[in-house]
Amino acid sequence: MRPALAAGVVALVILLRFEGPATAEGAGDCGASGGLTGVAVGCLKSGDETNAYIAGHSDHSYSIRPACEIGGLVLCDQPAQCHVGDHDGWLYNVYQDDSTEPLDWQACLTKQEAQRLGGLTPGMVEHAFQRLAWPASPIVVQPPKGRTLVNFDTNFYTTNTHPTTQTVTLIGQQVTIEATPVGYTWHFGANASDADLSTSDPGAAYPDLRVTYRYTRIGEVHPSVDTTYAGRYRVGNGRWQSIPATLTVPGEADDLQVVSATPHLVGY
Amino acid sequence: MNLRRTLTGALAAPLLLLPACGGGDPSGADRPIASAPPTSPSPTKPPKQESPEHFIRRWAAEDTRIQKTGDTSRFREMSKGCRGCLKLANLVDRIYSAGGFITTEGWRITRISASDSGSYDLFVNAAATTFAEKEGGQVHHLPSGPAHFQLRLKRNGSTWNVTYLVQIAA
Repeated sequence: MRPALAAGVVALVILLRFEGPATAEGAGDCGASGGLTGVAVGCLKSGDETNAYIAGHSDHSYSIRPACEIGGLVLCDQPAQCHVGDHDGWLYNVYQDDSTEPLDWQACLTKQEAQRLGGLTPGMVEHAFQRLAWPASPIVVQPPKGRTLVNFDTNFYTTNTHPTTQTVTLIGQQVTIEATPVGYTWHFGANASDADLSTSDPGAAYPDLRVTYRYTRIGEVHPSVDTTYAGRYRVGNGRWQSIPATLTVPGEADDLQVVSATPHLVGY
Repeated sequence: MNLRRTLTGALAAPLLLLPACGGGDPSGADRPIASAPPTSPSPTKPPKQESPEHFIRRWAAEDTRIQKTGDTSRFREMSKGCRGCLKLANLVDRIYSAGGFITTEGWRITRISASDSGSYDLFVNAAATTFAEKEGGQVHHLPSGPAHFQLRLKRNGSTWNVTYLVQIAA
């Protein structure tokens, strides 16, 4: 008897959930107005409409994420532009509670409206990416011990090759930002216009000579390597999203003596 | 799960592969559009150089016609690249191919206006709509009432294409 009753309740709930919006949607929804076209196409709410919806459903929590197109589920690093009423805005998908599926309407919000709704904007994450401290690359020189030979291929490499992650809280949300070295600018300190080299290669230890420089004068030089990082982020355990801008961290200079060698005959 | 999501959810996956809407031709905004009386007849054929308003009226008439007839070919031609339009056309095709029906008098345009952003706002009074998704299927009733849509157009020779369609919450 009890299973039959439960099945009946489930069937009734499914029926109500399916039929409800077909007859009447709440004020402010696109819903049933607009005929079949209104049913088929995406629905856009202004910031005021979005706030009104959230205020009318205060038993739930809501979050927003940038969306790249009207009616689409795909999230974007940079939200698509939209226009509602007399202002331009940015397109966001709206999520209820912990749902991973957005609501069936989208919000067109100004930057201020998005911030008030707790929405992370790509600009906020990019700003955090820029202001966080990321590791400077140590430069390793071979031959070691701060001395190398003039007119000799001196080898350089760095051990900073792996992503670094940091977690910050932005608008109350835990955001993990990851910085991956994608480029290196080598300053060999030779005071020559061609003495800088940009590579995506971190170099390698001897004998794998991938980044080398041949000094033509003796003296003291201060080589260093700057690191260019590409970033990506994710909110909680969500999908990783790339940060459009890159960030360059200057490297600390090393002391290196360029010396000449005098040949000496040695006996066996 | 509401009706909008129920009906469009099945269409969503293949449509994600379609190009995004948008990118309307801003040149369409250089001619201010005066609102025509809502009783003016819906044009069906394009003039030599079609104005955006004329095109929108012709497109809106097609929107109604496809629901009455199930023939979506001309509507699709007028809506190339418009994701929302294709959703509607696919939904109509699906209903008719499954033996369903759509009964409506469609839209009565009350106002068309151009915005500074290059999009067009289309205000309509939608007639009540009754439809079933398949033969013998559950009959749904959509009430009549005012609705506000936003379109973007792209110049297509002497006429236009709708490249973007979204409904704005009232």
